[in-house]
Amino acid sequence: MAQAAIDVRAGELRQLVNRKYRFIDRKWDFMFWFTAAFVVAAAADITRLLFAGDWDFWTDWKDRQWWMTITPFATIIIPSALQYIQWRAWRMPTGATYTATCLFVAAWIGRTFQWHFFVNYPMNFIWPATWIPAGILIDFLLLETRSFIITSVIGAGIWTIAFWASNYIMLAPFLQPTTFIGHTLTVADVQGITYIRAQTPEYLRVIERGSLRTFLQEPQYVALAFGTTVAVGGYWIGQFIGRYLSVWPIGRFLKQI
Amino acid sequence: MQEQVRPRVEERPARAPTGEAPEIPGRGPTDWWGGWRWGFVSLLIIAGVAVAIRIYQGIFTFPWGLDSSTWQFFWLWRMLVVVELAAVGVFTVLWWGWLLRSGRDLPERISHREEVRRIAVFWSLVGAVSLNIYFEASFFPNQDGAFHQTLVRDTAFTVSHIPMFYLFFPLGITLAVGTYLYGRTRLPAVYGAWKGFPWSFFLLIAATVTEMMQVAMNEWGHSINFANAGAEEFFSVWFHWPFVLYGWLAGGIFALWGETILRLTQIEDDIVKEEAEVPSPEAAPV
Amino acid sequence: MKMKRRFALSLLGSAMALAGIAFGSTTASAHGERAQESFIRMETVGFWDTQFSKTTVQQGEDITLTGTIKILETWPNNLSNGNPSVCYFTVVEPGAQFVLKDRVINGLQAPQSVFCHKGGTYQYSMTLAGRAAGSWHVHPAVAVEQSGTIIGPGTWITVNQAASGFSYPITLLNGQKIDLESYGTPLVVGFSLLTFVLGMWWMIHWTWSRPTITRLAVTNQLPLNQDGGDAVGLVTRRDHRISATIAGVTVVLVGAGFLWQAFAFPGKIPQQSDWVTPPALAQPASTATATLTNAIWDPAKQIMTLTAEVKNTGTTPVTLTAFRTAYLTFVSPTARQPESGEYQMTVSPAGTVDAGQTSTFTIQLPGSVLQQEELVSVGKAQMAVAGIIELNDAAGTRNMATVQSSLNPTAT
Repeated sequence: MAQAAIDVRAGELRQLVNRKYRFIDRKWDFMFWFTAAFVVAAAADITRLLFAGDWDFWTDWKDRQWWMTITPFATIIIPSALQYIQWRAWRMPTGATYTATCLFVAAWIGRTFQWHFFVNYPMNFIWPATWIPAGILIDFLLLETRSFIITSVIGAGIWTIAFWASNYIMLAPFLQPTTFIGHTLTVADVQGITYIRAQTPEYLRVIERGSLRTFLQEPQYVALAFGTTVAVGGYWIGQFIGRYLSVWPIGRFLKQI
Repeated sequence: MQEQVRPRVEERPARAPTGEAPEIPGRGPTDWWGGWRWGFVSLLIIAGVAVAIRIYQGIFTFPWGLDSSTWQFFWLWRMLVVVELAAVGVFTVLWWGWLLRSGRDLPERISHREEVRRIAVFWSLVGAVSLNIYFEASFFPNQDGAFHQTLVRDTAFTVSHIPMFYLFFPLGITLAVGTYLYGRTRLPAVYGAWKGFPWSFFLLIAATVTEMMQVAMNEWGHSINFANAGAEEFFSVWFHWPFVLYGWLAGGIFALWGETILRLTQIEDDIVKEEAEVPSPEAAPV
Repeated sequence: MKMKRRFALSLLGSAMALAGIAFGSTTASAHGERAQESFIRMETVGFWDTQFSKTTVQQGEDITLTGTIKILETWPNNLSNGNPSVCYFTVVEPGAQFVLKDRVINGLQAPQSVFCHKGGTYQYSMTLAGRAAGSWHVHPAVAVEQSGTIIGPGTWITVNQAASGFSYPITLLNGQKIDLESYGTPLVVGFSLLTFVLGMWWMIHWTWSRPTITRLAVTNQLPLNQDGGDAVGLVTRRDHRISATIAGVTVVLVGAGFLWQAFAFPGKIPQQSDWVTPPALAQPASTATATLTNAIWDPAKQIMTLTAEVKNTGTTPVTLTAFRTAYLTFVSPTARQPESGEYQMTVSPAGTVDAGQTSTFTIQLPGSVLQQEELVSVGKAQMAVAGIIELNDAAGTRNMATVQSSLNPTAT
């Protein structure tokens, strides 16, 4: 009986899923996804730019200590918010991928038209990181677990590691050593010295500076682990934004302002 | 006397008594060139302005945008601030004024078709807000980082600040409030004044207003060198963070889509109910 | 039609006005260095002997900047906590219009930042190459940690287009020759685009063949952690399959890529911090010292008058040759003629200071130059004058004496 009731209920909902409307056609979907892309890209970009931008702008900042601690935290916030919104509203596990894809377009437009054409830095020095592989994987995790708690804890780890691994592929050639001005430096260091940045002197880089306790080649793993922990916090900041700033206000009014 | 007085209503094209747009093929409530027209026109206008400014920057930054003590900088850049603020000011007064004045003349009852059209126009305005936020929080901030980290800033009115802080930031306030005024006057079922002030708009408008206020703190931070943090161009510096926090308030924009989607489905349910009550489909009010 | 014509005319008029403004004159110091407070420009760093080996080059052709920079003893207490300790000798130019190929400080090659100190004197030689065709204003500069970049005297350098454009070959430690301008770009662009394709695949699967906004009516009736499965149809088994496929492809792409880079680029090292301490520069024998006892600004006459006391501690007469402040050089014509970019000052009485003697000189600087460069600090929170007095003896030994005085205007 209980199962029958569940089946009936499911049937009603299924009919509602497949209902045809008089005025609501696919244009509404297109306008939603298309116009939301701008504000989503903007939110993700401003968060990345002002929390972790310096590490993303230049190859010589993409180090193995700070880049992977700060960037995952900064960049998981808006995807988390969108995960909540799009799962809650549409049951679509698309929030993180949608955000990462919109951010991808905004980042490349920004780097190309501003950093490259305006102030003339070569693209191989100023390329933006990609968050799309990380976004797909945590969206998949949400789809399979349907749980934000699990997605926050395990997903933060997946986000951090996938972010680092996918971008390390592109960074690898720039970590090859060369001799420049009498010293052994990476290609990325050479880019940073050669392409003059008038107001960003080399000492401004917040990167691994050969700390005393480097734990025998392990700093990047320590950084990854810590990056995961911090990203969990970032995930719940994003959940706050999605739940209380985006969904909670629906249909709610202030009586007096 | 009466023959000489020509009532104004005779000069307007024929309209249905409920004040709706006439039915023209291709100009229906959910046609691309009907209810959705402003969705494209507004985006093209905003994008056009941004592209024009970017081209202007490409022509006049090197060398006249680099030295704020020259007279060329005064005329090419400081005056641009004046032009931008004046343009936004004029547009704001005209548009808000029109929304409020014309809103008073609208009939109280409208057809479902007309309400759907208005929701499509509303979504077009939300799209304009969204695109404006892209220019104010992504396109020009990228330029801001590029300009300030690689050249020497010597004024608060830098080449990259001018379109960002003094055009798209205030325009964001204009568009957000204007969209609210449209909703309040054209979509009373969703945003009517009798319901109170919607939290969704409160957050979205708060985002645009606080971003504008944050400009002042930003310039203070850059000039004061407090804790040695203003002199160097570290983009992730602490006094930039409020830009992000205030920007998160724009999450309220999603509630606008949510609220109007709920109204759309309510309209559809009403149509079904009304058609069930009225046997003849021709007589059913749509 | 009338409105359209008026609009077109006003657009044309605006364009012509803009063109007139932009192309009407060519002078600009071009970096707005005047906007930095005068006390910063005068009290922090001194520049002398700034030389550019060329002012016109082809793309790829070298230019060498040489000169001396001193971290002055008058370094303000409110910058870098009064203790400048990390410096980056650099070049200020608008964007990446040049490349920096070599940097030598006090004879030591210094690729990155250096440890510096108050009173330190640094002879620099920086080799640039023209990269972007155009006319660019270039200055030597020094960035000091927690204080920002202090800009030296600059000049316009024209870079002409080379037939072959610009490339920057370097050789890796493994012997591979690369062009720094384009190395790695295909990998970055190609891999990034691949990830974009994956993202679009995911999004298109979820949004193309099913409606979106009408699902809200259904999800409002489901608990947050349920999707209803195949029975409801919001999320089906096919969705799980395709999503797993895309996620699987993502994992394979990233995993394979990560493995590939480990073999394709062996011997990677992390970004380096190679900060050096330049050796102390051999100082010339001290033959004279100087102090400023007063600095008076007369706004009516537009003259800055400095009263300088010069003490000859050597054995031959010394001459007060020049006064340097910020990026400006004022020369006494009785000692030598000003070179291009330098200004003239008057020194009275004219003449030398004999060995063992102390003399007082009145130096008058042209106020118009100081006003134009915003170096008259009247009305600012700190009214002072600082700089370097150059004293030469008969053998040509140059002593650079750092001097400072509070500024006393005759009227404000």
